[in-house]
Amino acid sequence: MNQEKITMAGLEKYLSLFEKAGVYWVCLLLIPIMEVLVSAMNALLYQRIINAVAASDSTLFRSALWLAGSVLTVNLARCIVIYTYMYQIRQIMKRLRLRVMTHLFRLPMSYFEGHHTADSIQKLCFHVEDIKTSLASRHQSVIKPVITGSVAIGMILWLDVRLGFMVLVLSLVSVKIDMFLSKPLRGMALRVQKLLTVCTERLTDILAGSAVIKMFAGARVMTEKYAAANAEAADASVKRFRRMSDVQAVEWVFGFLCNIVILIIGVFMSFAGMVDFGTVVAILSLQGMVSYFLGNIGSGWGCLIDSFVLADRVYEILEQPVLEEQTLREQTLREQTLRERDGSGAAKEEAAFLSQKDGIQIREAVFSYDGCEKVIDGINIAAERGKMTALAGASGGGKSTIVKLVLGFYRLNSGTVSVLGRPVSDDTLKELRSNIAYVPQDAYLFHTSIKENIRYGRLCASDEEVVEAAKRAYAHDFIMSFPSGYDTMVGERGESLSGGQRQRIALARAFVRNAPILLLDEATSALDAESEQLVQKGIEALMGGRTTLVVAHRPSTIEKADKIYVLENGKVCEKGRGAVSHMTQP
Amino acid sequence: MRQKDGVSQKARIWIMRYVGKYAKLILLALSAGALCAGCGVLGAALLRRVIDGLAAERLTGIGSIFFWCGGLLVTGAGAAWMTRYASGSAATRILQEVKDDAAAHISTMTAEYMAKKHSGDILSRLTDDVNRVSSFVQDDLISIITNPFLLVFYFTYLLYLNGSLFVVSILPVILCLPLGAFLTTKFKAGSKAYMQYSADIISASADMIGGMEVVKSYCLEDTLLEDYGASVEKMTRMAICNDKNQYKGRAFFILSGTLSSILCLVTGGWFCLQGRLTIGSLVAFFSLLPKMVEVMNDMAGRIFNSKVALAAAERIFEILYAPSEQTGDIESGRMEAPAIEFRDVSFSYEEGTFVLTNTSFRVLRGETVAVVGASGGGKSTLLRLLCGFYRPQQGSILVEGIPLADWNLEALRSRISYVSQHAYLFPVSVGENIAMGKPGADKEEIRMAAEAANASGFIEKLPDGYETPAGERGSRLSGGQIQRISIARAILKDAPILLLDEATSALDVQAEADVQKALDRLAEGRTTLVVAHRLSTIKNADYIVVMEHGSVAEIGTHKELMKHGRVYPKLYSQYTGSGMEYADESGKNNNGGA
Repeated sequence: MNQEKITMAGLEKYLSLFEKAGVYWVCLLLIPIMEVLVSAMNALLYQRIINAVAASDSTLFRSALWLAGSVLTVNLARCIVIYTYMYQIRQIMKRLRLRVMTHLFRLPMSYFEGHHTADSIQKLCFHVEDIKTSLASRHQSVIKPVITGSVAIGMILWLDVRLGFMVLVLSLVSVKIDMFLSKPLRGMALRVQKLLTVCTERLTDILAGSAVIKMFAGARVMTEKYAAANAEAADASVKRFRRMSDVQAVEWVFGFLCNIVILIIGVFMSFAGMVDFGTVVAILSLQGMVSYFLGNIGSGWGCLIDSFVLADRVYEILEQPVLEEQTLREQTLREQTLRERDGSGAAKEEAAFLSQKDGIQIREAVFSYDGCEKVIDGINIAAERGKMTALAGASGGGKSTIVKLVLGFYRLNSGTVSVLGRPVSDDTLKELRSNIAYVPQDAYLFHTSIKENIRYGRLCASDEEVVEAAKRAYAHDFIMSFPSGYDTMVGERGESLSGGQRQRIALARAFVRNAPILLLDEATSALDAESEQLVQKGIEALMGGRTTLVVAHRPSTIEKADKIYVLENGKVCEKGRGAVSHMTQP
Repeated sequence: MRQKDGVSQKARIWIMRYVGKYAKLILLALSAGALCAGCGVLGAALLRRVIDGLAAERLTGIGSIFFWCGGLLVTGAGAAWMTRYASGSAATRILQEVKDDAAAHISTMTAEYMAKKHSGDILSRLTDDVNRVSSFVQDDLISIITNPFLLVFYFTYLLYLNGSLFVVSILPVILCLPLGAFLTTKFKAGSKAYMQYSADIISASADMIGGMEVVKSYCLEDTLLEDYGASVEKMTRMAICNDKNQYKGRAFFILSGTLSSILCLVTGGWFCLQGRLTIGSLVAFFSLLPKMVEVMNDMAGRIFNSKVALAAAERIFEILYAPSEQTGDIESGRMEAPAIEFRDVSFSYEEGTFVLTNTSFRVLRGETVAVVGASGGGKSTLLRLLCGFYRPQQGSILVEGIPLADWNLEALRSRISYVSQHAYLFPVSVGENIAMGKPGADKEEIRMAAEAANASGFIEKLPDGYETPAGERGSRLSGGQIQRISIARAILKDAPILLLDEATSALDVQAEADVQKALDRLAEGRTTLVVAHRLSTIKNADYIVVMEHGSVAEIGTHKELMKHGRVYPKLYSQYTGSGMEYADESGKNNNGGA
């Protein structure tokens, strides 16, 4: 952890985390300035009054009273600035939250597969929330000691150069030692944060698998794992406290030394008539601020480091490349290679392929999630417009991956996917997806009403269209059997509904979308025989005139397909109609 | 309101319990804090002595002054170190225990409670709220406890220096305290509402992140972002409203502090001019007064924080107080009784809509019984009731002759293997996931179980075999693979009662056939209750329970029901019509679907 590096490169990056924060920074500076102004005027008041008392001079005493009035005025102004400051913090936080969420939405699907949900939530919610503490107090802890300290030192030097110089030397020595001691604090803070994230992950696991923990005594290991992670985090935290205590003790020693040394020297100087007594006590009263400066510059530094650590964690999201950024270059590259191939001997084959460019085309597709194990290995699939194409084969064969590739969730390692004649590339994603209705394997419902869940298929759909779609997905009857009908809230992940009901709502969503292309991933798997039959009919109605790509497990689905591809280990091992006849034998 | 106070009361008792455990450390922090305060007062007394001596031009005992200075330096540094360290580590350890207890409590919570609470809500209580409490305990608690000591020291010394000057200077601060307290109450109510709302936003965000596949494929980014923006806007408005209450209090404290120090100087100076006070006393007085006012204001600020922390603590303790599952104490059943018996069971998840009404049937030891019926007919609920996740509102359920309410839940569950519709894998290794079926199982046992579930083939092909991590919700494995691992877990458990819920639904045709065989093997000699969708399962069952609208419509063997049944033949024709009868009609599949 190089500290110089943090201040130089990190500061700029850190500041760019907060947008439109001008007023905030001004207030942040103004608050301690006004505070120090009050203290300085207080010190002068003190000096005048003590000198007046020492000389028993009541005119000098009365002339000091105007200072008292200005102290009150400045303080009133300070209250107004503080209010503005608090208001600005909330506005900055609002912008930051939106910025992180916006960025999260633009990340490619691979990010979400590679990161634990808890990790994203931790960053989006808890770390961002913590940044508020940076804005409200950590920045103050950095700025305030610096400003009050420097003004106090300036005042002391102005009151008496000799005493002031001594205060300065002591301050510098103290700061140096402080910095040295605080050095490992950043690494420690980072470690505690990381360990706490592990705790959150473990906790998410316990929450998600609580039923399994109940049924299998062996699964209590998970609770023990949480306890272990928790203990590790606590140990790291205690270690950090130990170091912070060291810093605190050293600060105390220097604050005290400063006080005593100045007092004794000042007393003797005043005894020798080198300085008046009022000045010595004024310096002593300001010395409290220098002590404050010394006492807090170290912890202030720690606070700054904490803020940087937090910002780093939020930047772990903000610095993830979003889709749009990488696209254009790759897109042009791909087109170039295509053009080159056009010129070569493969041109004929190319033309033949492109002639049936309706529907979905997958050519020479190679893909792997982790860069070594090929999930898709040189696949060619053509789903003709208006026809139903089924993907069959053993589980783990890459069927679901193909659907995800068509949706543009991942980039191919090589080869192309095109939909309705247009290649799938990052800059056509929105348009592409608007032409697709997708029913995932796991019917995912959002924590809102049934109506809204269906309407997510097409946001401008009217209530009538929603009901119509539900009817066609054979969901209307069971929805109406709920007391609040379409306004019934589905529980978290739709857990208050049965599998079949969830699936049918997801289907209704696809119906309402009314897109030319339909992607079904084992869509009927969780339905019982009755609803499966109903939904099957609905799907058939929906398929009319639409290009359909189905990941099929049921013979009934495969039976109706116009074309079947059987996948094995990321390759097409058979294709055609009826090719899977042997698969249906148990 | 009364109930809330109840939680507060309980929360206090719990806090005392945890605090009691670390009493030594806390006492250490306390006494160190008091020592720090004492050092401050002694320093001021020293100052007075030096200045008055100087003013009278007869400064004596320089040696003893140096001695006192040295003593103060060492004691003060030690006390400062100890205050920080002891308070920090006590706080950390206490919160560690609270978190451990809460996490352990999660697995004993009733399913009803879990279903009501969004898991994001629980998560937010155990992370966000714990952090709030933790920062309070680390920064504020020790001050709140040591500040009274400080105040007593300061009060005594300042009163001793000059009583009337003390009264004049302290007046503005005293007047402002009740006002501050009033604003504090308002602030507490506001911050609890704010916390609840931000927890809701976290739940909503968790939803969006979890459903990213749907969000992206339906291009919902912009809409959801707009919703999120609106929520954040509302949250900001709530926060600003809170800030106003907090701010008003703060402004009062700032102004009262300023007024108090000005009054002190002006009045004190005037007293000196009249000869009622020495300069040394005024200097000592003024060196301590700002510290005292600061402590008082600081107290007020920390009381604000304590309200936030208390609100957060209440939210945490609500988890510790979430109802636990009730358990009886009978640990073994009667061998001669039927393995499972439902007697007039009625059950509803939510008041008003019954999922089961007057359901009665029994399963004898060693029998295999299939439950069929339309979806939403309460089939899965039967299994959840048997596991003791929920309690029926009416009627009773007997397992091995013992009513469910009398069973020790752990003993009951150790006799049941439950393979649910949604298999859940923990993000630990595949091997560990299977081993959860039998704590302490060795590698060979795990491998055998995997083999019996037809899972050993693909597991051995995984990059690290049994050591391969399963990933969040088993993300790297296919549905069928997850299912088979969970079956292996159930096989390893080797319990006499087997509950299957559409266990083979996510498998492809080949794997399904394999798993079916494994399940048949598993079911041998065991009592099996299966929510069935496949004809092969149904046909192998000793008899079939047909469910309709939450109650038993008819019971009998396949043949009987085909002959005399009312609902069953219709259901059966749907099964065959939808092509699920692949075992008998595979020949048809070849030429179907033109």
